[in-house]
Amino acid sequence: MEDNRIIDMFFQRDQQALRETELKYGSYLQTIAYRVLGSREDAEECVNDALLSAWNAIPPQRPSVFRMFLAKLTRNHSLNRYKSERTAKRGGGEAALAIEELEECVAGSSDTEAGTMTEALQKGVNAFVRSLPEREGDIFLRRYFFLENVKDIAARYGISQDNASVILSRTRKKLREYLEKEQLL
Amino acid sequence: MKAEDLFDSIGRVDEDLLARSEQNLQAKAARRRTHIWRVAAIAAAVVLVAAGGIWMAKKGIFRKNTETPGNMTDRNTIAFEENTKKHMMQAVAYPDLPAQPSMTDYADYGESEDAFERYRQDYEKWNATVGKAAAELRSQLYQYGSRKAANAVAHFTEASMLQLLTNRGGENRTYSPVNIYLMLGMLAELTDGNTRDQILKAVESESIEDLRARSKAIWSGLYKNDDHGHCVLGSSVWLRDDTDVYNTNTLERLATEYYAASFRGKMGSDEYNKALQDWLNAMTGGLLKDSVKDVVLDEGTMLALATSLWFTGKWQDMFEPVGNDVFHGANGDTTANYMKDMKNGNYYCGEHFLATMKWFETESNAAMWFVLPDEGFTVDDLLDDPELAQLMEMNGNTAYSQSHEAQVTLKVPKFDVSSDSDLIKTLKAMGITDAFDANKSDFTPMAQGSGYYVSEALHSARVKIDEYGAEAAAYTISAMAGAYIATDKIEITLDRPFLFYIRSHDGIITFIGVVENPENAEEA
Repeated sequence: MEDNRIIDMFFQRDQQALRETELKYGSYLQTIAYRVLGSREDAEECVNDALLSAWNAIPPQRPSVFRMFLAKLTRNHSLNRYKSERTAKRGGGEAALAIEELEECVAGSSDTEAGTMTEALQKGVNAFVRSLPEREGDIFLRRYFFLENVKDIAARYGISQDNASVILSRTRKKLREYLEKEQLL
Repeated sequence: MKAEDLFDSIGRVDEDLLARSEQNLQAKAARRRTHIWRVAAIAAAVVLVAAGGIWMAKKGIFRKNTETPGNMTDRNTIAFEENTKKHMMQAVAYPDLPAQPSMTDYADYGESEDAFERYRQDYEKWNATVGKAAAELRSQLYQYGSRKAANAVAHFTEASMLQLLTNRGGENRTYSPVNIYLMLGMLAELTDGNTRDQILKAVESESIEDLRARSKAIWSGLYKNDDHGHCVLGSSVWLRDDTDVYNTNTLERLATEYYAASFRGKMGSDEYNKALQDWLNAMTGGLLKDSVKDVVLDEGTMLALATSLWFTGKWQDMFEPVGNDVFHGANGDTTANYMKDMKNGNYYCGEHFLATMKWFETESNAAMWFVLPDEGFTVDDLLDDPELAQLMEMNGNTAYSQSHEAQVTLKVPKFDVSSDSDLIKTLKAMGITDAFDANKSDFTPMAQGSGYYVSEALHSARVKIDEYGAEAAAYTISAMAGAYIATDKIEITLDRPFLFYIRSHDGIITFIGVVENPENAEEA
């Protein structure tokens, strides 16, 4: 079903919207959640939570890119769960590795507002990704938004794993420089 | 700041950037799969003939439409021959809704930000005009109630398939429930009294007004006619040119509510028969030529209704060619040309069957479902299985309770099935009897006079699924789709007679059929 039609159903408060969303994007969203959490059971729950959030958000919101709207909701729910489960010392998928890789971008920064994400940082990261050459930006997002592993990324872009790793490493370095320049660290 | 904060922020980047990263992947895939098309070409038509009665005068009552027949829209690919246009009294204008911009049309898409920006702007322009109009058209179905309409068609399918899909004698069989359903809507408009009541009961409608609204809603919900594919329900009325007994109000209603074009000519003449055949061929993409060539109207015909459904769609994900293998057909083992698809998805487990579905590309708004009876059971065993009905209706949680997620490998033979059905027996078995009996029928809304009855009701349908193209590319795409690792794996191999149906996203069953023997498939 076309996204517009599914969104129309959300607006009409037709619960079939949720079923259609699940049919169309269920596997895709589970992929995202699974990569964060490494647990199929947890991933399913996060996708359900994300669908519920979509139900609550539409209306009034009318997502411009429905698939990505759902992807973001799922990633956020999964990340919240990841954080709570990490505290309980269980769970953890590709997210743990990705966060570890991002450490180098923030090493040595002040920790005054630990756990607080400012609006400035969000805007900064967005602007940074937008400033990258398209392929680098895409590869960065495949890794740190969608949490695809380097092997998958390499296969998708038809490059070697080493090449993919180098691109990611350079992009992280650029991100560090950008954050410093923008005084976001 | 912690790395986690940064990670959180990446989770909030703009959706267009995320979409770009996906679209670029798809664009890459699309470039790789140039020349690879998965086309399902499907068509059905019903010709229903009302005969008998008396006609009185010999002068024409219809004004020749000033609109050029056959040029319904710029976008419309349906074109009629001159002879057909000559007989056309009233053309119908179908909504002109060009397809949304496709990223693959932007040759350098993925390689420059300009291209992406052009694509984005064109898409937004399309969305603000055509997208909005398309949503308004579709909303007619929601305003009526998509579930109510879909269930009525599903119930009609369940009742009619017991008539039309059984006693196959080892032959393939297919028909279009929604096509026959809309034909009955038109027939109900032409009738009154008990004749009409019997039809309303068979289609589960409380009144002619309700059925009219439902028919229009179904038409609007299914309509598609652009570069991505077709789902066009055509209707037409064929009248005599030697009488003016017809009720113009009724005929105009058929035009406005059922998008029915009207024609006039000399019943029984070669010229008029050719016009009807041409209309049927044009409205079904020429897929039913073999059946259509035999459609002729007897000179005693008072009025004929013809409806059609032409559907084309590409698979959302490609099949991988497999090659020849054994099919345990109704008449013994044969060789079939198989194709395979592997994806993470759902399969449905009934007590006596396994089922799964394959999406047509998003724009087609439909999926084909494959239902394989368990070993020891036949397709006939399934036809009155309440679990199959639940699956077809996808109603509430029932179907979902049968659903399991797994890595599904679906192996399907290419097939090309067609069949012709005489609907009279079927419709009579469903309680529609008076319309076929000159002594009982009431065709008052159609025309002055009495003694009219339906003398013929013929239905033809053909469903063909194909795949062409490079194996490696297809395999790559399938592999890309399978990033999620499902723990369960299941292989569904359709190597014995099976049932299939096509269901729109709104739940309307457009085609259903049984493949007893896929031997008509092209050679590998």
